Amino acid sequence: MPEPKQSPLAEALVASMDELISRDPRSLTRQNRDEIVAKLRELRAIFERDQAAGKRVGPAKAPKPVITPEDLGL
Amino acid sequence: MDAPVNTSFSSWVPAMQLAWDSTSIGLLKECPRKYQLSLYAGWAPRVESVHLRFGIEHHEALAVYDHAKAQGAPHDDALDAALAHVLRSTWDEALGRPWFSDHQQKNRFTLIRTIVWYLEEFRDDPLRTVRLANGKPAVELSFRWTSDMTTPDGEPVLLCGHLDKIATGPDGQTYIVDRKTTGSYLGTDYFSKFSPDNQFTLYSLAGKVVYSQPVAGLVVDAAQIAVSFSRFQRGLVPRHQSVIDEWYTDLQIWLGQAYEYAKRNYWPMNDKSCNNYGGCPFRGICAHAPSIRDEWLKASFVHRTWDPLRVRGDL
Repeated sequence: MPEPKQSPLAEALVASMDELISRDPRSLTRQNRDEIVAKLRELRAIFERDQAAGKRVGPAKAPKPVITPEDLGL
Repeated sequence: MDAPVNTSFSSWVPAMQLAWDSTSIGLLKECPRKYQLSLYAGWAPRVESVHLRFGIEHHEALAVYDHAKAQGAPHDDALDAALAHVLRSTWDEALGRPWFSDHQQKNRFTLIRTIVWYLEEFRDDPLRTVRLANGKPAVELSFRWTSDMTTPDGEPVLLCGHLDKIATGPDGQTYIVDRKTTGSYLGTDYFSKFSPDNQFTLYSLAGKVVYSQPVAGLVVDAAQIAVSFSRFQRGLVPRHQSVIDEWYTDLQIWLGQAYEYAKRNYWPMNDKSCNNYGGCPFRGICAHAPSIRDEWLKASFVHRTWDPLRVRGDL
């Protein structure tokens, strides 16, 4: 089953990250890396929002394993 | 192809491995010929496996995070340490460009995304990494012990391997944590494939034998890598003691067979395994006449030593 396309906002975020992560890592500052993390957090929030809204973001939500970690409070 | 390729082999029967990890045992069980070519002769595909590279980078970055946290770093600083590590380790200094993978799901971007999202998902992880007596976190730990098995020549057999992490749950119990990355959907089927499973039964046994506290179970932290997202699921992999005992009984028979193969220096082909896991990398070699296989191996493979006794952390 092919994955659905990302939203334009998510695609724009990925594109803006491309430039940063393609740089020589020795030239990246902490601020640059914080920017990467911030963009990835934003991307994750979009993914979670889409998932919560029932938009298909890959296969249906994973069923729980037979024994769940919650059973042990993990 | 006749010389022992690493320290885990016997000097008495050169083709007999004495220190066994789950990779070696798994290969032997899958196909003795595949075991011979990859473990004993040390042949590896010339082209790096993207799955192997992705998995190693993922493990190493998370270990960097765990070490930083153990030294008292706040989440954001530990996350930065992991990110800085993976950006450097996936940078090709010689070519002055990032690691290139044309795999749709497993590439540098999805690797970085998966690491950051995983650490965000488990930011307040109820599983607390155990701190070792030397103050270091119990991550990337090598284990080994001398089993009660010996070869017919009286040489002791060691069992060994590497654990991703040992952690304490909110129930106060100790768990072995193993991190997996996969392109597969994370459902019941994904977790059920670990029971039975050679690697996890060995790890369960190792936890009981090597670690000073009783280990309650094995936790799998699985990351599903897709093109546009990474998703995580934590699953428990139970192992009853009787299942571990049965695995150990079977292992004695498997290693008895390995000794016979090593003595004869002949490792039979299991031609029912050739198409498993997307196809054995040696399938093309085994398809040729035996007399010309070495030439084909030299042309398409490189030498790489898999030494299970190579230590990672402290235990």
